[in-house]
Amino acid sequence: MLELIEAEDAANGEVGCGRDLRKGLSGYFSNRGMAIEDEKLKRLLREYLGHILMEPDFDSITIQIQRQIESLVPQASGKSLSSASLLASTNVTEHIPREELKELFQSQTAVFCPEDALEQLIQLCHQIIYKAVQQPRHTWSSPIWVLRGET
Amino acid sequence: MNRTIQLLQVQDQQVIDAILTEVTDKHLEDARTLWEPLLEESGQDDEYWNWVGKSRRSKLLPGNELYAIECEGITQGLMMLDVLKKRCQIESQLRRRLVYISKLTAPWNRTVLTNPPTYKGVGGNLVDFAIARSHELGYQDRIGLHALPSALGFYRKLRIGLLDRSPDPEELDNLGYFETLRIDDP
Repeated sequence: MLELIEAEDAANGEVGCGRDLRKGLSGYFSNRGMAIEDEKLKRLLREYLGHILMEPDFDSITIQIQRQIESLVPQASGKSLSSASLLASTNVTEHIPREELKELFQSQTAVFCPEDALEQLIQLCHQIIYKAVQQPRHTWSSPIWVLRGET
Repeated sequence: MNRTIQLLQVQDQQVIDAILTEVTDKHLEDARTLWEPLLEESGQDDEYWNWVGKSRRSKLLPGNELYAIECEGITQGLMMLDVLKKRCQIESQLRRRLVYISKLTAPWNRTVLTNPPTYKGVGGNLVDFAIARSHELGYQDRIGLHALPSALGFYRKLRIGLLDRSPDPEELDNLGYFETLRIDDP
């Protein structure tokens, strides 16, 4: 236990972990509790992109799409998405048919997500997948890991 | 599940027993009524964490588990684990299962909020339990987590074989990612 306390003291008792959702998101989540099932999305990704991407790519795409869903909903009830965050759709290849994505998202977000927000989500999803295909996650250089446990 | 753990009572430097258990409505109520006013406008990273909401969400998705540490009838720390959906990122154990600590907080541990704190050891015991849970599930004690910036010192000091990849290039908030490295038996 002394070791644990020593570690806690080193950070003045700060032990927190987890993503730092800001007020807007937390407020939304406290009322809604929305997320989509990773596995359903990954199945779709594997079906259409299994020949060019790998599991780390699917993980990365899924995380990014989940985040878009999280941030889409607060703005769906008020402001619209900044157009700056959207690439020109003409430059984006749609690797997964729009209808397939719509069906997936609609089945899990329709209660909370209005039609125009759903359309934005699909567009963002195309962009995320497009970028992932351009620069697959599995081809990135290996990250540097550092062994901790400082004395 | 009730597990007896030990905390250090700071006032008299005595080691006392506490309980680590699954989260109940009482723990959530403590977080709402005792922690939220303390954290309000504090600028702390977990100022807006809503544990009632987290508990509700945890029931929607498989693999989420919530635990609390309780001492003398008062909630001292809360933790949410994901035991199913996250996978290892270190190359040598890529995609192996691990217990991911989605959220962990112990506001009364912090000297910035309570100086001196009433107890020490809350955060450490929660991390210890995550490792034990990983062991129980056959994940070879592997855990993963994204540390808040203020808590990097804590996770860097823990001697539990954590590898540190800070900041995580895929994490929007630039949080540091930590994962336990385990070498498989030959």
